[in-house]
Amino acid sequence: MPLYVWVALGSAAGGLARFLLGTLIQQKLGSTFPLGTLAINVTGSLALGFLLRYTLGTAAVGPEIRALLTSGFCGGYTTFSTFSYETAALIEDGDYHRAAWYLALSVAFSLAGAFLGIALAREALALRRRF
Amino acid sequence: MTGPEAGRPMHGLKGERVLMRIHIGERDKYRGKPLYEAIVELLRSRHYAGATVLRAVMGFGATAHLRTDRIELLSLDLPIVIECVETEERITAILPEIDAMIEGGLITLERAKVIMYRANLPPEQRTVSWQMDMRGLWEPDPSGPA
Repeated sequence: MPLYVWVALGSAAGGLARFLLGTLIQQKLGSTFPLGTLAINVTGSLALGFLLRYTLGTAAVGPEIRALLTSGFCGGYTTFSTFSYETAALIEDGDYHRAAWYLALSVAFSLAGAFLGIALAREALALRRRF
Repeated sequence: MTGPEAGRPMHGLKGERVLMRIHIGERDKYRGKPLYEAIVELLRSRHYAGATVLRAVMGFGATAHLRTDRIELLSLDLPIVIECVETEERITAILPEIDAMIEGGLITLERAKVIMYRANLPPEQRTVSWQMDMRGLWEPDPSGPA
């Protein structure tokens, strides 16, 4: 199977996961602050940090599964375009306060998530080598 | 007519009608097509006076699920309001059919005082059936063919 098929399968699953989880979070917790997208982007950044580092660090996972999980799943799951749209919508409303918070929280937590994912992958690989 | 308006009478047709407002969702369907479209087509096919569909920017309904065009994932089923102004008889007549089409929603009916303008109506006919009573009374003009 060519790589793009793996990417297609992964992004279908990632998009679906974002749709279901993001809607659930937004319905339960968010009012008009885009908490759903924030949660998706932060968890997705953590997941990609972990998955990319972990799958690159072990020969047990080939490029197909790596493409499925990273470019595919995480690519379909996280969304920069929605983050941009929702920030623009807040600015359009003159809601600069929440726009600034959304911007700052998204960048800070997503970056922190990526570092945490990388750290977790390092630990997991170390653990794997020990046994 | 007397008063300062006597020289240039208001040309709107005036009367009592019923305003029907139908609250549904953007994704509601009737036989595969959008429900609001199906309702407008029904009203049009019966030659009702008119109908307007409004899509809201925010709202919630019976499920308490918030919908807003500001959040991507909540923008997929925005509130829709269909408005139609007609005589009470005609509104009452169409209700059973709309009832059969709506799965979840809300209809409100209210009496409305109407001033109607028709661009293509010749000026001499514009005050035939109704005359504006500037005291604010909404009575049909007895001299006109009500």
